[in-house]
Amino acid sequence: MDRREFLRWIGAGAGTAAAELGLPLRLLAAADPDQNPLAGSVARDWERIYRDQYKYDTTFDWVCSPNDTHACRVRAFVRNGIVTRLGNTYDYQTYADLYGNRATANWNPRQCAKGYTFHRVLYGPYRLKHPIVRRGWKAWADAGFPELTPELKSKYMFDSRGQDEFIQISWEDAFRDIAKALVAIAERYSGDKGKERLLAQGYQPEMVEATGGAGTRTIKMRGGMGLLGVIGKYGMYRLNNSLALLDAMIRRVHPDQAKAGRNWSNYTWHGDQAPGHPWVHGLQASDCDFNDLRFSKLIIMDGKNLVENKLTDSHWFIECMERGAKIVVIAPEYGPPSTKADYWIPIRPQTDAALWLGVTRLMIENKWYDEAFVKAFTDFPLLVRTDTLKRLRAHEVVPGYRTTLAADGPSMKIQGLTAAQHAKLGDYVVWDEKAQAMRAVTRDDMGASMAAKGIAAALAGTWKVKLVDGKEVEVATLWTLYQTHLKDYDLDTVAEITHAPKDLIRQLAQDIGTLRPVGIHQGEGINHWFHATEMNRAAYLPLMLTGNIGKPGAGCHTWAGNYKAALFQGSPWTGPGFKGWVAEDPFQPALDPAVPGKDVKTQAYTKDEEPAYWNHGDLALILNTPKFGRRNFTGETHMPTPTKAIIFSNVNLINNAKWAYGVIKNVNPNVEMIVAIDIQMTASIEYADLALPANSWLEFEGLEITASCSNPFLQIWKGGIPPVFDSRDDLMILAGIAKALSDVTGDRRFADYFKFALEGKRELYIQRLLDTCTTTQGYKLDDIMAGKYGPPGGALMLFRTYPRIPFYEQVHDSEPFHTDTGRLHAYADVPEAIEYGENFIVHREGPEATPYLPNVIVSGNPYVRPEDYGIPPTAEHWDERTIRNVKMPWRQVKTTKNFLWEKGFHFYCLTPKTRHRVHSSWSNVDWHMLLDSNFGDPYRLDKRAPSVGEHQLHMNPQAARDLGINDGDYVYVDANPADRPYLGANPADPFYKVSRCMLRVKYNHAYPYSCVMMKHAPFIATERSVKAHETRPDGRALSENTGYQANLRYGSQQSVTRNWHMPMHQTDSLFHKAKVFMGFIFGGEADNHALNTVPKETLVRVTKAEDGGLGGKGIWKPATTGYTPDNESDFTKRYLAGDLYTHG
Amino acid sequence: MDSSARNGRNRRVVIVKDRRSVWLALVAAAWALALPGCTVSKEVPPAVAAPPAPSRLSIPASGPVAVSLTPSINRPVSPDLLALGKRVYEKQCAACHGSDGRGEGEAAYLLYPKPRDFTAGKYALVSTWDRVPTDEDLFRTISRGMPGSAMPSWGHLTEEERWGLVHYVKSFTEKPWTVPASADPKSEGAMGQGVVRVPPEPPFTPEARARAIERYADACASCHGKTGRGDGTEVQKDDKGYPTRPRDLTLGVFKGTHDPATLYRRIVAGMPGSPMPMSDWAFGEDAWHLVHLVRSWSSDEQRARAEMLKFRIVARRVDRVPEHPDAGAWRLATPVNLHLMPLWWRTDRPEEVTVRALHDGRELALLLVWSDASADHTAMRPQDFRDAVAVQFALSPDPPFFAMGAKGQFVNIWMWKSERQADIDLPFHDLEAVYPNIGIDSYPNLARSPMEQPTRHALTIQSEAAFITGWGAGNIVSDPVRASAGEDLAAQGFGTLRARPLDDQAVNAQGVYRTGTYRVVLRRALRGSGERAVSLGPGSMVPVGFAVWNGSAGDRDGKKSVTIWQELWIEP
Repeated sequence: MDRREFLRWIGAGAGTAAAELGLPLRLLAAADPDQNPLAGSVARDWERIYRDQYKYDTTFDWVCSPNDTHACRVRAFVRNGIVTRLGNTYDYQTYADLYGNRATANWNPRQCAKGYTFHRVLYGPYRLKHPIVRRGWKAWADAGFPELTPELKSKYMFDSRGQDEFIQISWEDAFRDIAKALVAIAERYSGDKGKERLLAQGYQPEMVEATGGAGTRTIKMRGGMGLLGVIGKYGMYRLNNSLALLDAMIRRVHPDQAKAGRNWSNYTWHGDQAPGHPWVHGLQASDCDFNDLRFSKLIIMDGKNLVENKLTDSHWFIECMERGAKIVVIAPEYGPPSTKADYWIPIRPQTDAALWLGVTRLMIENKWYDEAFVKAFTDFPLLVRTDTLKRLRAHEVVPGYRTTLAADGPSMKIQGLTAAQHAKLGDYVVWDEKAQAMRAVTRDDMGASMAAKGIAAALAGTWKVKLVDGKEVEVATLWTLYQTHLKDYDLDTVAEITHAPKDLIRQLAQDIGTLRPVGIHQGEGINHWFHATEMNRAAYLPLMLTGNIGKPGAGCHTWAGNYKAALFQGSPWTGPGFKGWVAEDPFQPALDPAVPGKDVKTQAYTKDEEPAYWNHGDLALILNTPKFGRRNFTGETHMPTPTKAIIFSNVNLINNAKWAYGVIKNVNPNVEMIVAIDIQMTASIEYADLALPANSWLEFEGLEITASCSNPFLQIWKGGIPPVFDSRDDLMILAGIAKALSDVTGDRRFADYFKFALEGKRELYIQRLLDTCTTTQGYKLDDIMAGKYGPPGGALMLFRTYPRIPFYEQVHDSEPFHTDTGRLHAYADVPEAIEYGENFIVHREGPEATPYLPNVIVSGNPYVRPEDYGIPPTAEHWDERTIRNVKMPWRQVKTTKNFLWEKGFHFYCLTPKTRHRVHSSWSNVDWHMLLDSNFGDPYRLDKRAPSVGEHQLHMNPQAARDLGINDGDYVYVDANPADRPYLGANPADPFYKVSRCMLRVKYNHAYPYSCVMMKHAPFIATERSVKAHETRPDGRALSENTGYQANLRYGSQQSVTRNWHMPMHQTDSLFHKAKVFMGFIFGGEADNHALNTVPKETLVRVTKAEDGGLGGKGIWKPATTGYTPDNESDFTKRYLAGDLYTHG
Repeated sequence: MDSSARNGRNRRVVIVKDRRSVWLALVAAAWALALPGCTVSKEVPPAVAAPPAPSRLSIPASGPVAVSLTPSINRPVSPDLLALGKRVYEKQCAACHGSDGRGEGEAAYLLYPKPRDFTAGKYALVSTWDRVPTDEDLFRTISRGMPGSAMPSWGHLTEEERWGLVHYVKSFTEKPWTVPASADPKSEGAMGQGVVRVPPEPPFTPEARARAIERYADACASCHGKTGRGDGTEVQKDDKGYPTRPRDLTLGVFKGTHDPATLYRRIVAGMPGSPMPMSDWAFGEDAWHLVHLVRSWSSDEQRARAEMLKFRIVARRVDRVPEHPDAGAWRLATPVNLHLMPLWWRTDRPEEVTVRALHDGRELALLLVWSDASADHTAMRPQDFRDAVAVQFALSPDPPFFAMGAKGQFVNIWMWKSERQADIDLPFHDLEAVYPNIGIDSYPNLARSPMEQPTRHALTIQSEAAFITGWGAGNIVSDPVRASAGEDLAAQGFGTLRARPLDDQAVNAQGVYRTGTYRVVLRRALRGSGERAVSLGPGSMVPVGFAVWNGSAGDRDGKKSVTIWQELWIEP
């Protein structure tokens, strides 16, 4: 069809259509019939108003830096000093590095609706406008911080913070009171007296012992998602490190014995980490730059929603539809990514490990694997003892064994393996097919290096071996043992476990086996389950078989949270990097501006800790077991201390705590100071003692720096408008506390530790950071700010590859993976894993979210030998369920029952991330609330709505109908009443009503019968918001005094969650890479190998609470129109069936 | 600060002030003339001196303009008459019935029932057994209009013009007809032909009434309802497929004339094109009984009010025109009850608007009074509509098409809106008034400092006009600080309504609603300012039309009740 024809065709078509429809087109005619609207002379002066509205005086660029991994640079348009709108910068093609590499223009545009609406946060009604203090706490402070007896706790309302009142306080008074409280708390809990006090308060002795007698250890600080502002947010950990000065003063100890506070984690606590990753490759997490996705030929989203949760960068994978790639989604629900997929594999929640094991078995059976890669880069050829289930070590079989691991090999020279660590680990053994003998292999003997040594490792085989101690044992390659292991995961069984269709499982195995490259993306959908470790490990198996690692478009990545402090990586050749900022030695700080970053002395006096222990009742996982008596499952490297003071910034700590109401009710009354630093009023502040207003990203008065785990951009920026309220830069708030500590203690070293911040020279800290990181060395801050590498403040991180590809060095340079064997691990031989029955990658049912015996291991493998500690299958206590390791084959498992399921709790409660929030940010922005649910209504016709929006529960329509629940009804969502919403909950307690989750139901066919879904991290109902909802004439859940706006009338997602202490997350023996420097550690490190919270691990019961109709009468009106799911009118059904389409 | 925005705003504010001050000066001057040195509150109108002596000029009295609905002579078709008919048709009829006579004129979508399709040759009002109209039938329909539809009366046209229309309209038909000589049915069950002969009228005795009720129940009640309220159960459509309702016979609205003889013929002949069937069975006495019964359900007054008539309204001259509807001076004006018809017909229509007019040589004031059961003074919700009233002035003595003029032939419209009045009388009405639970974070206000940004307010008069698009663009409808509830508009046919320039807005309006009645004063200087403003002079006549909107009935824009052109005479 040529153009003329085309025009004629559309002309005719348009004319026909209008005539046929009988449209009154005259309504569109010009008001003045003499005026041709297309004529140039038509008056268009009315357009001026729009030009006027879009006019601006100036612009400035800032970085939108929430916890979403994007860190988009946003342009603010300013008029009369007010930011009137926000927009894209469209300049990503200008980002460059020291070597002249440039990013592609295809990164543009970058920014989602959250960046576009930030001015509504900036000027909105929920900003924290000045420092505030809780009246009761202030009285306690003024009384000299007396010891909190039960009477005084009540007097000063520590046990009823949510009912107290906030009053304004000056910055200086706030700083002074915080400093005094830190001193008072540190003193009170120091020494033997301090320990006695803590024991008397009922803390576990192991936790008390972990303080080492330092009261400072009871002080917890959390620089919320610190990477989002390395200076201001991560700076919290610097402040915490300075508490070593306080400890040295109080306990009169030498610096080398001084102990600072505990640093609370972020990534793991958010449940964002894929906890299986360190078990497979030794790194905290594997993630590539997003532009690497375009190289994939098979993209598998396993419990990951790259559409909604990677908004600004989702186009990279969507483009693959045009590039000939196949897209597969594995998820319980047919969600947004499924609409892009070639096929969607529906799956029973948290059975993904079984699916991957089934896929792996099919791939091996069909020989869809790359044997050379398996031998060179995985642990499959390594020999495992069948008696101890440990890997055979070289020194066990070779008399007088001496390692060949060279000091100048990659393990030691590049990766920082120490001799002591190596001695503890030993070397490993393979069967050399050429030599027909056992051969020792070091962790450097992998990839091409193994071949260079002439080692021809056998993949299969079983041997009897005589050990140097004379004992004869059986050994086999892991590959051979896996043949036994995978017997439990035949296609029929896997289909039965997972509810996934067999043909699709087979298709998936074939696609992975035959397409290259393959990328698997997991996220919160997987990581939020108790057995995420196994699901993460299992997803690696097919990629290990096919060599889909370390190559463009390949890999198994996890996408949740911008966690990656490791981006600011220190090394022996560059200097301390990130550690130089957060852990400079406060006893010998580099106060001379001429001192280069590399010479900054570092000493971490702090210790990492998972806040998950705090929100587990401030308890470690220590139980009395029938078989062994008191038994500690929390490794020494993880052991928490009692929590007496909490300071956090940029994170809605209490709101987002799993089991939040339990924390508020049972834990926080024992915490003596809670300080929140935030830009706006949150539920955490509703339950805090002091709140300090921080400048928002647009108001920063000094420079801030960030980078992302999903793109290569180094972003440095400051604000462009003066602070709207009486707020300060995060860094200056920390420096203010530090200075107050100097004033209170008379020790000027606290202030000196922030000397350059206080002097307005924070650039010096940033330059030291740039100078000492492997990823930024060579950059001068002034050059970056002058726009030498792109927009002022922007540059490319100096990664080995662009896009950044994890494990490129491992595969291309034969640099060991960061595991003890230097190989990718299908096996874990650490004692804890063997004891828990997870040495092999297995499928386990969850400790709660299962219809079957909680936590059962699905296996008949004789080499899986778990310990059940004598806990009977009938045990119902949450902690007992988590440590009871029982192994059964599937045919037996499927006859077992979960007592909760039997009691009517048969909905898995999925809690994915929302499109309209990042964690709980943007939760109160009206524009987002209107869009966030089906119940958005700015007019609030139904004044039961807590705000202009309302949280909602997606539910399968049939499941809802079976419970007598109409579309739009209010329902209660309850979990196990034994421990939720909080321990000791009593329906007669007014707090029970506050904490019991009530929200609206939305019928949604995308969810299977037994799955309900509510998006995570809304703003929870608090005592004040409930009071407001029940007493305000307009019914809004808008707290008096604080102005806090809740998203729910009652309760929240946290009403049905609790913290689970997953034992596999708490080992002392897992060998893996440290986060922020080139070296290895055993056991716990926050955000790396630590408790990953698992909010989805819950079963809920749904019961009708109120009618959905206006004012609580009848059915919610939209559900009666015939245009809503499961209430379709005949007309709608015809539309859905395509009957309304006619050729015309 | 954006200077143009600020200047623009300031300029407007200044103008508002100026206009006010000018107005106050005028008021003061007027008072000074009337009552030198008097300081009586402006709320209480000063006592009016004795009215000037009755006019000796040839100003007619207020009241209906006589027209004849029946022709004095039957004019047969002729080329001249057809040409005249075409001219008149194009001016007065084509907008609704279409130039091609198919009933699909530009205005047709605004009207219910739909305009007649002349090509089908089917007419509702016929006096014959043959279901066709006589020329007299058509002449009468044109002259009187059809109450119960948007067909107004055209009795004010000359008899010749009306005959021209009769023949021109007939020329559209695809099936020409002739009316045979009149003949009664030859036997029972057979039909007659030609004009239905009306037998002598029997008395309406109790027995006759009983008989009528019996026949009515058998034949009529299923549609018109047991008690004549038009609430029968049958769902009805007309021949074109449009839904239609049987008449509520208790309201006195008759599409055709309701004199007994015509009514008799309608019952017998039925109404072609509508579900009203022929009732040959009633020919004889039964039809007479039914005529009597049906007429007994409504009063002469009701029936009169349904007729679209042309009235004269005389603006009497007084010393000073009143500003407020409560002013005693209105006693001096003769009330004229104008008859209204809804363009989209409904039974609960405003039937009349009562108009009083006064002038003082400088200003004209109109007092418009009409009944409305509810005061609908907000149109903020999409589903809400306001009450309003408007008067249109022809800009020439020979007025254009009564529906807001025609292309190139402007009318000047003064309009009063209830929600505008409420905004002036009460604190400015914002969304909170209708949505008390509304939640809005804020809109940036560049006129205030960043620290003083409003929270949880919709856009209000405190906001900056630049960001309230209509207001910022100078649209008087969106201007929340306007001092008058009146709007000064111009149109050249429906769909072309525009506000006159902001600086020319000179209509003052003041309305009150009490006890189910609106009373609205519209005032303006006699001399119009600017283009398309009507200029009025003592001793002159101007054609005027009126429209009333009942918001709770969903009236807005073209959905309204209107009068035909009336005459407004300004006393010398």
